[in-house]
Amino acid sequence: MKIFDHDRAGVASALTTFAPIIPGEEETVRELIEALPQGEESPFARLPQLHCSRLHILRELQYQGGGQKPDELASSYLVFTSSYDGELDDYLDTICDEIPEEADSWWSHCVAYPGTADRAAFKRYIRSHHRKTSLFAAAYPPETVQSVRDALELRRRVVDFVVDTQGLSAAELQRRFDETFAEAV
Amino acid sequence: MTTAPAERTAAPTAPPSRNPGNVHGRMTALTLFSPVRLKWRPVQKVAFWLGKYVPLAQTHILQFDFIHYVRWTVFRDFPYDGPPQPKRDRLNYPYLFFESNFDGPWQHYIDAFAYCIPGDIRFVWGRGINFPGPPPAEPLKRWIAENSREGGTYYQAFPNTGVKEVKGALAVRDGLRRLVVESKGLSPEEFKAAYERFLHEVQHGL
Amino acid sequence: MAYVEETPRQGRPFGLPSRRREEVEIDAADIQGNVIRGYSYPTAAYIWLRIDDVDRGKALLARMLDRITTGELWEGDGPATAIQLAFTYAGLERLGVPEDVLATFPEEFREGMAARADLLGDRGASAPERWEAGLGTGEAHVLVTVWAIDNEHLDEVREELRAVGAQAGATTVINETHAEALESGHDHFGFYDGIAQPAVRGSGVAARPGDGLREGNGWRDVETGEFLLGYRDEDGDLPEAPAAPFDRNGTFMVYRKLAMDVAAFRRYLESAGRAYPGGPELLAAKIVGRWRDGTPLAVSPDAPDPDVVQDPARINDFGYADDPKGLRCPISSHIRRANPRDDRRFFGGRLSRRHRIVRRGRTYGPPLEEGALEDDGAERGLVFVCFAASIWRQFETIQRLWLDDGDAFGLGSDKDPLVGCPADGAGKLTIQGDPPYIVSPHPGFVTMRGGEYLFQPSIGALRWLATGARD
Repeated sequence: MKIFDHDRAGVASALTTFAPIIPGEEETVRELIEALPQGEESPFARLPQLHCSRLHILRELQYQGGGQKPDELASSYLVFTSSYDGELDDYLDTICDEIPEEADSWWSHCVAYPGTADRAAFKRYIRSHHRKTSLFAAAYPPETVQSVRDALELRRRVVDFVVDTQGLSAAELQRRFDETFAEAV
Repeated sequence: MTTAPAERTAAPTAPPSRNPGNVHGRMTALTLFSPVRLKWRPVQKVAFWLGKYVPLAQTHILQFDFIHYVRWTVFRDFPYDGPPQPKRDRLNYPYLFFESNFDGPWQHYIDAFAYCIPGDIRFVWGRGINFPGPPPAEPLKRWIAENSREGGTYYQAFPNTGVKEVKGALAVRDGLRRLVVESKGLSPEEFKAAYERFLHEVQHGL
Repeated sequence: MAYVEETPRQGRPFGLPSRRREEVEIDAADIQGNVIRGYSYPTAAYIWLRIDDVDRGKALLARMLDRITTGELWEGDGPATAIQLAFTYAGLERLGVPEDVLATFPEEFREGMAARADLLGDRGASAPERWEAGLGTGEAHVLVTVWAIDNEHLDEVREELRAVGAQAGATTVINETHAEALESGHDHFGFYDGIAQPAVRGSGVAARPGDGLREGNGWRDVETGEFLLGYRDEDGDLPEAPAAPFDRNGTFMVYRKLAMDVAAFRRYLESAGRAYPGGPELLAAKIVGRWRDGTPLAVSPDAPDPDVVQDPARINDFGYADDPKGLRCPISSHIRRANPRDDRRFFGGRLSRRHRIVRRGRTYGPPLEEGALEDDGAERGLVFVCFAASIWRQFETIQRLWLDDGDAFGLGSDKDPLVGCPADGAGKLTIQGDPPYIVSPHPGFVTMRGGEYLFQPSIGALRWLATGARD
């Protein structure tokens, strides 16, 4: 890991990729990605180190008016961003291990995409289409997806404990606490 | 005296529509892509670079406790992979790509910036072309509505857990760890006092 | 210490109107009065009409025009009856408002409240499928609200509407609620309700400290345009408005008939209040944010204080900036959620000032016998009514983000302890303190019986709707 890595914020990393879509296949990709289930059924749910990601299509740039020289895009781009834990290499390995078909399904409509079957080529493809972050910030930089999940679960147990032990004697409270939390943390 | 209202026959800015591709549960991803004036680019570059070492982001943008992850990326040209891609897309300006993952509808998110740290917004985006710097907030919201990237799909590991809830849970976890250590060998009364101190300290997370 | 800018002086965007606080003159003769003034009549009725025949319906409206109460000051005690008219989107459509004008109304108003039930937390027993007949189905076109000095006068107007409407085949009354004030002047849960209302600039109503927005050590009025279209709002410009003639002197209205389970509330206070170290009355106060008599917890956290209640200068003069942890008034309490004032999470009011509403609700139904812990089968509750220039930004933010959810306050998915409907009847209430106390489960006590989004037009727009004539 580079020391001055702008793609990192604590344990979290940013991936921002722009993949040119094969002309004429934009609609196909759009329908495909918009049909993806959300939540637990989402293919992205199988990537345990992923906090959040967005997949969408950039077709044209918004003209701002005034004195702006208009910018026209000759291609559409499939934009894939991720905020994930740890190293990019491991994240790409996980994509190849867990969702190779899905990943191929949308990137196969992009120019010169090698496919997840050739893992090294896939990693090169993603890296070369990544745009380095200028600034990436995270609300809870030291926390991974798992540590957040664990903390939320622990808090639920603490709330339950508080409710169950309100009004108990000090001795009983202490006994229950030792029983419940001695191993928990 | 009141002034006569301007013509408002266009349909007004709609409230958040259902499933616009960048909303999941409680969370929204706002993606913007806007041109930056060339002359401003070096200043912006320094500011972003500095932002990693000086906690500007933390004290300014993250202080609202509703942004999970946010990034800024600036670039001038897109990848070119050869035919059948027609040509390399080179742009007249550097473009600022911004993506923020936050809790709640984007209009309230923008209010926070427009009413609390408008200077930051004007600094980062204000040297864009025709950017309506806040305050006021409504023209900025109209600009965002026009520039926000819609469509596609959005995934979040904890779609219904906001930043405040996560941070509250982390505070409870850290406080509990300290309590477990601290409470070894205490009498019941001493323990109860320590326990109540712990609760008092982390109650914003309960 | 949070970094927040003072209002910047340099770099003002070009063309931004001056923010001097000028006097505002509301065109009182052109607005319907209850937006800027609460009516304290003892009895009222909410009468929903379906327009059966458009021309005859318009003729009926035209006949009512000169009886619509405007914002002009009353002489003496005022008229024996007061009447206001509001329309659903379906109603405007029925009356023949042209397509291109209809398209300029906001999306949430066009969709209607029933279609947005999932956003508003109207689920389970509160879901639109269970609503009273006539509401949420698109049949409701016009809401006629009538106030009267006694039930005789009220019945005269009700009968007239019913009979004349039916006789002419013009309209049918499809839903009606009689809303008589309780003798005690309290609401059905036993609380002195309706104390806090926004101070509206130019309304001519004397503001009490706390009614408006925190400014320095004092308070200022809320800009008119937050509640009336065609006037400057808190963002410094005119609010988004539909096309003429609906673009000025009108406003949006929300109607929600909320049934209150008084017996369940009493039982809950008894059982949970017994376990709670502060006792049932304090628990009740922690839920609402005020003691039953109206004393704000923020002012007097340990006991009610009649001196405060009786002093208009004190009963609403408080904020939450000095109680960030909620030790005096819990973060979750109803009035703190519904109006966060200068709570630090809202940056001194910067993030709350655009989400105020004018409330004009009334209790309905007979009181439950004192001390009764079982429901008697009678329908009772609150007809919640509010006005705002933007239903989505003002009402829906409060209902959806601040009452039906707790994340804005760092309370996760905890719902409002007074009016919230917890999913699965579970719910919890955290009462901050040293140490904190958690009540769980915390059930719901309120069920939605039906509601609509409405537009309350100016007098001029009413005339146009009824006769086609423009001022």
